[in-house]
Amino acid sequence: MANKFEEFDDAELYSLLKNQDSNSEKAFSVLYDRHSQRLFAYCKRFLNNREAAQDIFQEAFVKFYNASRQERIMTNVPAFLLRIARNLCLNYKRTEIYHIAFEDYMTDTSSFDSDENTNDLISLVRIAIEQLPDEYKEPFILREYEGLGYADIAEITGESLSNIKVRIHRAKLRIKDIVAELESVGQK
Amino acid sequence: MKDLNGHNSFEIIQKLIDGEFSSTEAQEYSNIINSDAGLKSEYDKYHKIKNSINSDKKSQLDNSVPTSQMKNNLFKELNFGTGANTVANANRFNLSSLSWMLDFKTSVPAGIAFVVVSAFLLFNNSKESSTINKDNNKENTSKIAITKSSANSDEVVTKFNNKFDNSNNSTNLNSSKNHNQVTIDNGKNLDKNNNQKTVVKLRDKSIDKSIISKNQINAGNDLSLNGNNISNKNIKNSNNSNNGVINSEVKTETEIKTNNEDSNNTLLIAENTLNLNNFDINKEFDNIRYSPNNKNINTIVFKSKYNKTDDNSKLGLTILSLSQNTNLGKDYVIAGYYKVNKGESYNLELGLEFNSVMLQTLNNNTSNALFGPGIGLRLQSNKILQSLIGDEFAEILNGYTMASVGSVTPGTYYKLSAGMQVKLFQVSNINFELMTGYEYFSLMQANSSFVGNRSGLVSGFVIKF
Repeated sequence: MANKFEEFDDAELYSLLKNQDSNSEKAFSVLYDRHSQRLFAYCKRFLNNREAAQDIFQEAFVKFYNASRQERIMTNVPAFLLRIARNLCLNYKRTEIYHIAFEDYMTDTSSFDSDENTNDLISLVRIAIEQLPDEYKEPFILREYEGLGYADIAEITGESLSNIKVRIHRAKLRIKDIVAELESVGQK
Repeated sequence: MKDLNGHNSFEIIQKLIDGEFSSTEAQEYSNIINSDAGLKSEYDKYHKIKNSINSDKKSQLDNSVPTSQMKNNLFKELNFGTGANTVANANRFNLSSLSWMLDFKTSVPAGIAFVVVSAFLLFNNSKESSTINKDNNKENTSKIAITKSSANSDEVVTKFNNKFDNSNNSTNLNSSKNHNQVTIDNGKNLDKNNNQKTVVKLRDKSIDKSIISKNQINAGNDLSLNGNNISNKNIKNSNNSNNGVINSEVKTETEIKTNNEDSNNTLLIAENTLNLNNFDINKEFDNIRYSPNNKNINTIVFKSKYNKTDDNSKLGLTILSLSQNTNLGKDYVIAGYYKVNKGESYNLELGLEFNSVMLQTLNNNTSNALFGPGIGLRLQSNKILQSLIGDEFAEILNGYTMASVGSVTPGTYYKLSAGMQVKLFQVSNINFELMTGYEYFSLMQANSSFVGNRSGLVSGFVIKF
């Protein structure tokens, strides 16, 4: 039975959610399995706080499920989920004094692989991304880490398509420059 | 000729790396870049950055697999049944689910009836839940306290004290969820002899604390607080019993507001007293969270969930009668069952039983009872019935099968029974059920020669506490 639902695409599964019956539950479960990892990674990256990310992650899925009761043409479930999560993360950040838990800091470094050169560059890229202004950082992350198209990013952020393209391009330029600068400092 | 100078060249390079060109364009630009050392160097630099981003993305994804507990929590929040339960069961780590069934049968005139008294007692412990079992008229208490340790320290110590009269209690608090300003380190095993401390670090000292303790407990809520205002609200009590499953929930929401940013108060936030009613309670501290509403008011929410299900305790009295008696007499059984699996649709229990067999047809003398141990497997399911007769009727039915093999003095016996238990009525938390089924009993001698068998309908009366 579960296989049947796994064969459905996101839009079909989403349409099943509206009925709020046992099929909805199965459809939701499949959607969860498909997109939860990506969403959780996004929340963690956004908040840099695993505990908070867990809460936002859960809340995002609850809102997603509740939103399914409304009439809506669903074309891109992951983008919709990310939009919900993004709004929740922004709300969270507005009301919280932001702290990075020690364990989250540790988690970041634990994900590095064994190649020191790659790790060094990843570290530098991460530093560079953190130094980006939010208006550059967010579309860049949505593009490079979440793999969204420009149109989806524009919809999520409420910015124009051209603006998004420009910002992502500038973000890349800045990252390249910052990494180069950091590398030169390291070599000295 | 394309312009690859300045920013435009970088745009071309990153588009090339991102695969945003057609193959013809890509080939053309690649040739241009490869022919220019400066451009090639730029290309290589950004290519490395791009690769590192991809590596980072992959490692972050690999590091972000939501735990099954997260899925379970979400499904609970959404009031999902099947999926959540599947997850919950998979994640529950039932470390020891022990079911003991005590059967004894009292003989009555040949071939008519016997009585089985079954007593099931289950203890169920898991990482996020604990079972509290108590004797009659004893009181179990659970205390949750948070104290602010000193004026200058930003450290708040939470104490989870659990005092239970019964010696078989342990409580695991391990699933704390808290937002960024508090770190609650739970996961410590609490039992009646240990008062564990949990350190909560407040990183923002200048706060008004509004602490809400939501406890679904089977009792009232005693609170004490030194020099602070306490308000209790929304105390709800609901006791639902359903098909032998006792669901007892008392929701107590306590809001405590303090203005003690620099005070030296010892703040006892909540002390919950549990008065258990002679049955086990499956307690979950599943959602301890600290969620400030704004930068000035902070909220700590403790949700404790106490579920009572028939998994936690069973005390059964079963009276069985055998309607047909062929070449073997009666058997008397004392059996204990250890629950080895609790699936969504069935329970599987491994049991040890002692059979006393009366070989009525061999010597026609019931005083020659033979006694020996055996092992049995008991399978209970009402899901099968649900699929056959629908939820509505399956609500009052519970199918079972039991197979056992053992040895008595003459040799080996084999027993197989199957049937169903029908819920008749319920008084308070006590379930009265009718058991009916079919049993086959076969006995072999030590030299493997066949002694005889017996089969027939069995029916009886079950009382479950």
